Amino acid sequence: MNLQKTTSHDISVIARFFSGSFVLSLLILFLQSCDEEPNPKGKYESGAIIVNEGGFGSANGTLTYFDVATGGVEQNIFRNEGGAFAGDVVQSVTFSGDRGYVVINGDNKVEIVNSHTLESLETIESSDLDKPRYVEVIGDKAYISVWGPYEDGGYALINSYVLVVDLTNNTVIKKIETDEGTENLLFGGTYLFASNHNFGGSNSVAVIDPTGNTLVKHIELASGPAGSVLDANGKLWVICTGDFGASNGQLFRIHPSTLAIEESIDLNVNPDMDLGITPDKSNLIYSAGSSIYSISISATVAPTDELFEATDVVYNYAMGVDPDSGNIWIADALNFATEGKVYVYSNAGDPVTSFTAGISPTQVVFK
Amino acid sequence: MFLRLGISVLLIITAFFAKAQGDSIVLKPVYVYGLPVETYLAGSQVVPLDTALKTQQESRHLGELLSFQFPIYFRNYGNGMLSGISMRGSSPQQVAVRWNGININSFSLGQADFSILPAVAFDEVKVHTGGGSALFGSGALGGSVLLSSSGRSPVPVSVSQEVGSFGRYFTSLQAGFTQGRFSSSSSFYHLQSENDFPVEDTGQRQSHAAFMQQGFVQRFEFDIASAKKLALNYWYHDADREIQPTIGNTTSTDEQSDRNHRLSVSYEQNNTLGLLSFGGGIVNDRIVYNGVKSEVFRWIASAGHQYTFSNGLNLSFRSEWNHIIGKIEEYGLEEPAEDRIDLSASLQKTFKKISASANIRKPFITDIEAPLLPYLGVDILLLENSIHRLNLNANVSRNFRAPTLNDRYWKDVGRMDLQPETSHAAEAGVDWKMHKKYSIAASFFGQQVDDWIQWVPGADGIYRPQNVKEVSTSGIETSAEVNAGSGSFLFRARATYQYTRSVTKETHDADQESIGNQLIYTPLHTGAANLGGVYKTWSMNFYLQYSGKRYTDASNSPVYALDPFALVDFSIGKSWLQKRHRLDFYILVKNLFDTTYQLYSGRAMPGRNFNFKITYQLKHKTNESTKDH
Repeated sequence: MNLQKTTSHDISVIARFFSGSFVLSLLILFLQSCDEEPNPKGKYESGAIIVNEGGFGSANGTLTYFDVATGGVEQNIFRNEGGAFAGDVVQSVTFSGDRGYVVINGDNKVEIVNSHTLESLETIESSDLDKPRYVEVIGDKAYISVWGPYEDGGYALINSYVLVVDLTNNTVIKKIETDEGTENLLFGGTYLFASNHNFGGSNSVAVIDPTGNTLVKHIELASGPAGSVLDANGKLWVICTGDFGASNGQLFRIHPSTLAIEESIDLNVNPDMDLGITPDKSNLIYSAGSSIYSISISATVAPTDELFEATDVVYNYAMGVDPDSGNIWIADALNFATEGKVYVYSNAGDPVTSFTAGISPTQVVFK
Repeated sequence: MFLRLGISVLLIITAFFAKAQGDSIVLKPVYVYGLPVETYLAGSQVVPLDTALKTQQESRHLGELLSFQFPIYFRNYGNGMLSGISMRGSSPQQVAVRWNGININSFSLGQADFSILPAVAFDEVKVHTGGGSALFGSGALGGSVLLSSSGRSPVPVSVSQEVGSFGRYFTSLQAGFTQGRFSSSSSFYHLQSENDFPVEDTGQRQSHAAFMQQGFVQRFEFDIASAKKLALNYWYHDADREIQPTIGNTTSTDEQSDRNHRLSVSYEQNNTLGLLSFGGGIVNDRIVYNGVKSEVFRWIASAGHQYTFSNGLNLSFRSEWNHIIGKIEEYGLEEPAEDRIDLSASLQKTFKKISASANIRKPFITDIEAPLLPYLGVDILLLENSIHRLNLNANVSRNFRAPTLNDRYWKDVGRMDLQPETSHAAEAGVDWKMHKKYSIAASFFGQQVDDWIQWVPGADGIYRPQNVKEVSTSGIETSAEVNAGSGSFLFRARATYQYTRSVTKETHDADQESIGNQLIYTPLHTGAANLGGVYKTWSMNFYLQYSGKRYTDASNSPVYALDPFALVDFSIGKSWLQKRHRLDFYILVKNLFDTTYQLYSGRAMPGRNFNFKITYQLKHKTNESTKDH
């Protein structure tokens, strides 16, 4: 609302000559402000974005918007140059400042969008983008985790890396080789941490120094490092999904500068890849299918009981924790051939709301 | 080995036994061999592909052509790419494609790829709608496409050359000769296309979609005696494709090559005992996708006997044996082998105004209890006079589809105890012809499919095949045709429309969203139309195909649905005839109105494009009649 600066003299003049109209104009101004955009920077300035992979090989990956304030849902809010959808297999979106970075795993592109209006700005394309996964923005550079090529005649990954892109001109500066299956990225203040998952085939987190774009080391954890968060003490937590069927997932706490492994906790389940944290960053949230768990950052053993059971969920494909309310969001992909659903639970597990997302919802992002 | 011999012996014994039932009429020797399969399909429609359409667009594959004449939908994954058929609301695995009496669906996947069935390879293409497993075996639920390369080469030499948009070139050569009792006909074809058509949505040219297809069809026939014939058919087809990526993807490097060998040999003899036939065949299908090879090898043996009693009753017995070997890495180290035996019997009789047929088939498959498959049909002539002909037709059938090799043998998850999919189908309709120039037809159809096989995710995230789904389809199909003109001017207008509701009734727990919803890529409304005229040596045709909205996900979401579209092709042709030489020239405008459409989500299709075709034929010397086969 734009109010001109008025002097007390002006006000007395107005009051004298337009006493009735003054009240009326104030009323009109008041009503106008109710009609004004709640998000003046753009329709999607705050709320939640659900990233949907789309149907296999159908190029119909989308972004779904959920307005937390009103409960309104809008499907397919970002269209690529083709105009119909966001692209083939949308894997993730990362927001940084006024920009959003949408990683299109199937089309091998990173679409740069206005963070608030979701309109397309630029596209990062490069022959080095071969199955990109996640983006982390540090300063004026983007760090993209890339799976890389398949082996000849098969589907094993043979050369994954982190690609460093100069965002001033969208060109590739460096390719940092990492272990296979590089996935989640997190900047810990000094170093960038890249989880090498590879469906449980890799067991390390790559540590990258963004000042020189060099690989510092690979920290060996357990099979399948995936989601990572920073806790209230600034410590890095990484969840490992474990070996298939072995129920040997683990949580690791790592010092973000010394890189020492401070704690390792056996979870006795195979957890899902997403790791969440409560708004006060004192409890971690992880899941194994429809079982949702909470663990204190000072714990040394896994919880014996679940926090709650998300009984509505058929296929837990993504999980996120709302940093404002602490609500736990579970994205249900059902059978990957139909529109997915998102279920929102309170931090105690009471159902809050649910809505329809796109096909194969794979990430929950809060703005 | 002994199994093959045993079956042959069994059939010969059966034939002698049947003879004892009564006198038979010896079918006219030399010229007429057996009755066409349509005889035993009273109450059904078997419609041939329009010869003008087939000739003008012989370089196109059936997945592009059939929808201009029939209310059939094809999900084509791009231009010249994988093509899956949808007939009467069924899935691509539920249409049986047969060539010269051999089923040529993929035994590993279940469906036939229509993009590697070029019209030029066939002398005849017929479409049977509705259930027909009793006659056509596994997979004949929604319908069957019957192909034959009978070597019916009406001219000694025929050469064709086409040039079209986006770097498209097509050449075909056909030659045939008859020497005494021996005749041979050969056909060679080659098609290639750069396929870099402009994509409407992006303004860029389509990349990485070039393809090449070529093939060879050979037929030998030897008349051993006046009513004994030996024939050999061989068809080799070779396709190499860059797989067209989704719109906006410029980095894909996927490619696929297909090699198919199909060989059939047959011996037929016709005498007072009836028409006895023996056949054998070999089919080899090989696909290499991004360096990964998968191959299926099949031996086929068949024996059959046909009879016509003096009272006009037609009786036929048939047995077929398939030995199938799957050489696919994902099946594990052992190459599974499977045997399938089919026994069938058919009866047909025409009374004064009624023609009725009864068919029954019993399949035997290793470790599967396959059901008995009957087909009963009737055509009733309600009215016939010099002006009108009104016919009522109806049929009921039970049909099945055997599980594929993938369903049974995929490493760790394949199951030998999977049951076949079964369906119960019924259809009733009426067709009315006036003055032999005007006709209208309408039919209602319905089908219940049970035990539909789906790959279901388990609690561990692994997919396993299960007989879980039930689908109910129903609909109405109508068509109308007008023929007019006389002398040097002929005109024909033809239109057909189908409304199909194909709805999931039951399915597995993770797929509950699809209950009550239309199957994906199954339009409610489909139509086709043709407007054609011939004036002396000129011909002109408009062809139209229409598809209604198609859902691409199980919850029938409007977000992901494909918009309805109508596609029109236009062709004009001129022919010159000089003694024995005939020259035909055609101009074809495909997608006349530059429609933007998709047949499969995310795969662009070309806008308006052109094709020029010239065909030279050397005709037979006059007085020499063509041999009827």
